[in-house]
This record gives sequence, C-alpha cells and structure tokens, in this order.
Amino acid sequence: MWYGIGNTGLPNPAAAFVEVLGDATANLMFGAADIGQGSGTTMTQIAAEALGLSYEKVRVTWGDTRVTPDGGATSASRQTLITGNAVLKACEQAKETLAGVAAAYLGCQPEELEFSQNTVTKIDDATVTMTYKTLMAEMKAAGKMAVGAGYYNPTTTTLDPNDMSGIPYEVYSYATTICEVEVDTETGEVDVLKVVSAHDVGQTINQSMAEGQIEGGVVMGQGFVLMEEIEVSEKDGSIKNPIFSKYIIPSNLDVPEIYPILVESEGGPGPFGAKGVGEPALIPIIPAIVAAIEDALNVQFTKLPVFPKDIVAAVKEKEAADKNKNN
Amino acid sequence: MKAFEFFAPKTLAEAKGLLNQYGESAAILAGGTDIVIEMNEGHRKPDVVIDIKKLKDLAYVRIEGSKIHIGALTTFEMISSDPVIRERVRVLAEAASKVGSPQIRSLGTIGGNLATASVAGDGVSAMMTLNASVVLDSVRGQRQMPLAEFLDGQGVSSRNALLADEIMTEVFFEMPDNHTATAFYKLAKRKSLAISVIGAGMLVQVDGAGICIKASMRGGCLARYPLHFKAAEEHLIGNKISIDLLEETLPMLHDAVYESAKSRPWSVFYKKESVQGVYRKLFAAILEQLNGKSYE
Repeated sequence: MWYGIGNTGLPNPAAAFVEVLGDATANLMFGAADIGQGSGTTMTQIAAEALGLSYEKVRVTWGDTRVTPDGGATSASRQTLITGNAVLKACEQAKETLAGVAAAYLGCQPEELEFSQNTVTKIDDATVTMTYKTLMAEMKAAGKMAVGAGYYNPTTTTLDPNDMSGIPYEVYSYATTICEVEVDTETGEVDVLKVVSAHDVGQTINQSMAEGQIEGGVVMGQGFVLMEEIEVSEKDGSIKNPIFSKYIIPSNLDVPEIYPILVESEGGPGPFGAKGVGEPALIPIIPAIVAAIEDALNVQFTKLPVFPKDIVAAVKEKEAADKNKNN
Repeated sequence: MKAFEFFAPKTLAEAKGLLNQYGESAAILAGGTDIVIEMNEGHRKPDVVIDIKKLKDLAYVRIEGSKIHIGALTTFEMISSDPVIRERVRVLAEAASKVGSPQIRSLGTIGGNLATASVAGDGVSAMMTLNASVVLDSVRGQRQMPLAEFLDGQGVSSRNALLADEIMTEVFFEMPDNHTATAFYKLAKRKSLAISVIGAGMLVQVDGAGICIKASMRGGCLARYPLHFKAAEEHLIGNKISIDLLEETLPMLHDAVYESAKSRPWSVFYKKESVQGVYRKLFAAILEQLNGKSYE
C-alpha cells in the first residue's frame, strides 16, 4: 500500500508557538488535537530534540482555540508531518536567538554549537560548553527573549479538474501487511490468528506509540472486514444499531497476534524525516484479511463486511458449482 | 428512569415478605445485568425494586446424592470456576464461561438468567440440555418443576411460570456420571460480550458397551426456548456412539432448524447451515470425553 499524507491537493497548514523561559524550560503551543494517537507527546519530543532540552522541560498547551494557533484537522495522517514541521520551525526561530547569545558567550560561531541534553557545546571541542541555565541568565542580561513561531504547509498543487493530474501530496507512506486466518467453512467463523504489518514511517518519533497505532489500525480493520455494519431502517432512515451492544467491533479476545514493523527510510520533508501512520495503519489489513479468506476458500468476495453468513453462502455456492463441473 | 422504592432484604424470609406485599409492582434485582439495562432503556418501570444480593445463602454449588444443586444467586463466575462443574458438567462450565465479559460473569446469576429466560440465554440452553429443575419459593410455600415446564408456564410475565410473589431459589440436575459426556458451543459475532447466534448444548450417556442410553440436544436462539432436537436424540439412543452415527444426525438438525426458523427468512439460511458446524464441534468434544472415560 502507498498512501498520501495530508489533505489531497489542498493547502492545509498548521502552526506552533514556542518560548524558552528563564528557568531553561519551554512553553510549546499548537492547535493539533490529540485524539488518543499521541500528537501531544510527539510534538513535545520534536521540540525537546530541536531545542536540546530534556523531554520533561517542555510544557505543552494544545488544541485550545483561545490561545493556540490553528493546527487544522487531526485527519489525513497529517499532524506529525505538518504540525511537526511547524513545531520544528518555531523551535529553530527561538534557537537562532539562543545560539547568537551562546556563541558570543563561548567565543565561537552560532553554527558551531550543538544544543543537547540541557547543555550548549561547541561541536568540535567539548570543553567549550555552557548549561542552558547559564544561557538563559545571559539572555536575561542581554534583554533578549527566546520565542519562535512557525507554520508549515505541505507542497501540493491543485489537481486538474479534467484529468486529476498534479501533486496531491508531498509525502507518501508505504506499508505491507500479511495475515493468517482460520476459516470455519461450516459456521463461517473467521479467526484472525497472526498479523505482520510493516510501515515505512520515515523516522520513528515514538516507537511505542507508532506500534500502538499500527496495532489499533489492525484491530479497526479487522472489525471493518468481519463485524461492522451500520443497519439503516428502511422505514425512516434511522440507524438501527447506534449503540456498541448492537454495533459490533472486535473485543480484546478477538485481537490477533500483531507484529508491527517500523521501517525507517530516507524520509523526506517531515520533521527528522517522519511521516504519518494513522490511516496507513488501518488500510492494508483490510485487503490482507479478505485475501487470506479468499486464499483459504478459493472464492472471491467483492463487498465488505464479509459476515459468517456470506462465507457459508459462498462455500455452499462453490460446492454446488464444483459438483456441476464434475457431473 | 422512573423513580422506585428500593429494598435490600437480608434474609430470604424478608424477601418473600416484600414480594408478597408488592407483587406485580415489584422487580427482583439479582446481578442486575439485565434489569438495570431494561430500566435504563425504559422497557421496565417497576414501582419497587427488591435487591436480593445480600441473600448470600443462595449462592452455592452443592452436591447432594446424585444431584448438583446450584443456588439461584450463584454467579456465572462461580459456576465456571467450580471444580466439580468444570470436571463433570462441561456443558454448563463452557456456557457459563462464555457469558458476556468477566464483569458480567461476576455479577450475572444463573437464577436471573433462567428467570429472564431470554431467547439467547446460554444458561437456559445449558440447563435445558441437563434437564434441570427449578425451585420457586414464596410465603405460600415452595414448589419445584422441570425447567421445560417452568419456561412453558404463564406467570407474572409470559416468559415463565414465576408468579408475582415468587422468587427462584435453586436450580438442580442429575450429576453426569462417568459414562456421560456433555458439551456446549457458543456461536457468536465475536469472542466476548456477544449475544449468542446459536448456543448449543449436548449430553450423551452410554452404557458399558458404548451404546447410547440417553441423549439430550438443545439449541439456544433457534426458537423462543432452546430448540429440542428430538429426532437426532432418538437416532442416537440404542446405538453405539461413533462419529458416523453422530454425523448421521446433521440433516435432522438442519431440518429442525429450518422448520423452527423458516418464518424468519433473513436468518434461517445461516442458522440451518451453521448449526451443523456447531454440532460437529460438539460431537468432537463428546467423543473425546467418552474415549477418555473408557480408560478410567
């Protein structure tokens, strides 16, 4: 599978603000809504890495329209790429001021400095170093403030309305998913046993969260293929199963063994080369499960979901067809 | 939810007194896994709720002579973890262990399951397979009856024979002996928190020569109460149990389900086909148990 990151052929920017404070901690602000995928953690890690502060030193305010800049929707697998780059740009702006003050104090050029682990050090001479706290005291003495604002809009073009040509996405994620199923041909039950899902994420920002997203995507896709269906009343169009006791999704006991694999490629324009994995995690498992069922039964399914009754019907049909062939 | 008066009696006598006093306006709350939902959704609006959770004396699994007695307040968790039931009564252990989720099994009771008498009650299917009987109690005295008769009865609700002043106190059944095998399979849309599509039970008793002397096959969710596969049972009795003999009953299961469910065309195709797959699993479990027993 290959899948574009960000909105299709449309501008979709996001922004971030940052300030490094006198006590060598930072305030980071961005609009991206964390809906459980962990963008708050990811952006904090990106800012900490960019500023050379430890993770705990970065405080985050996100998704508050009174104070945070717009982050656009948490959709299209886009926040790591787009808000991530905005955070990086904001931090780079703040760091430019910091580096100037540090270089003057240490007697070198700003580009010779490395910011890491709450310390500023000359790259080729570790003895030329200062703590972030000393740096912030120097900033105060110089009457300077370490603030930054950044926004990022992926490079795309509007698609040609006639032939859809153009550049719809700046970055693509790639994935391969393999799964093993057991199909009961008499009851139509499908047991998803094992799933291996490998994703080119460019650069992993947070391993546990990226793996968690892949695992969550696998289970969501499993539900899409095998269980989920919105039942609509023919009488008045209302949804007949609007509660989770009737709208069936996989339970913990249905979850297969999942082996997520993170592939780090050359990346591209994302922060440190990172791409998105939100939707890519979900998509390839869907055809993988269907293909596994088809491989087990030697029949084809052309619509989702594939319910046990559909499997039993397909098996019966095939048996009848095979019998006719032999006669 | 409509307001109601709430009582939590500490003794059975007290509970029976309250039921006698409030009758039809009262609802019994045991585990609450059915009635709380029914009340929340407005399907039931009792004036009085009698919470019997404090009647701890009604939670037990007891062996008396050749019978196993289970108190009405015994939870599915207690049943599925009881060593005697796990060893001797697989049909019940399996049914109890597949009810809902750990949370529901810790609250839901066998008495509540039988009194609610849902089409999809796995406890109902298992107990019908075991030809269980229930004990009903009231200030007027105790009575007992086969579960089948209980389910056929017209009491305070059309669901069963329970009268307005009565409380179920016990369910009991003949303990399967060394020559008896039992099994249960729950066919459902997922592996937990699922309402059964078919909840199938089976019991087979053989003599020393492996000849079937008793057979019980009941399929939940295939009729208002667990479907009785009489033709299949009769086919087994008097014959030596083998995989071939057992599989000869598959068309009978198919036909029985078709007869029972043909008025519901959207579900009959799948149910009449899948019931065969379900029973094939039970046959394997039954044969495995019987073969194991022959070495005892």
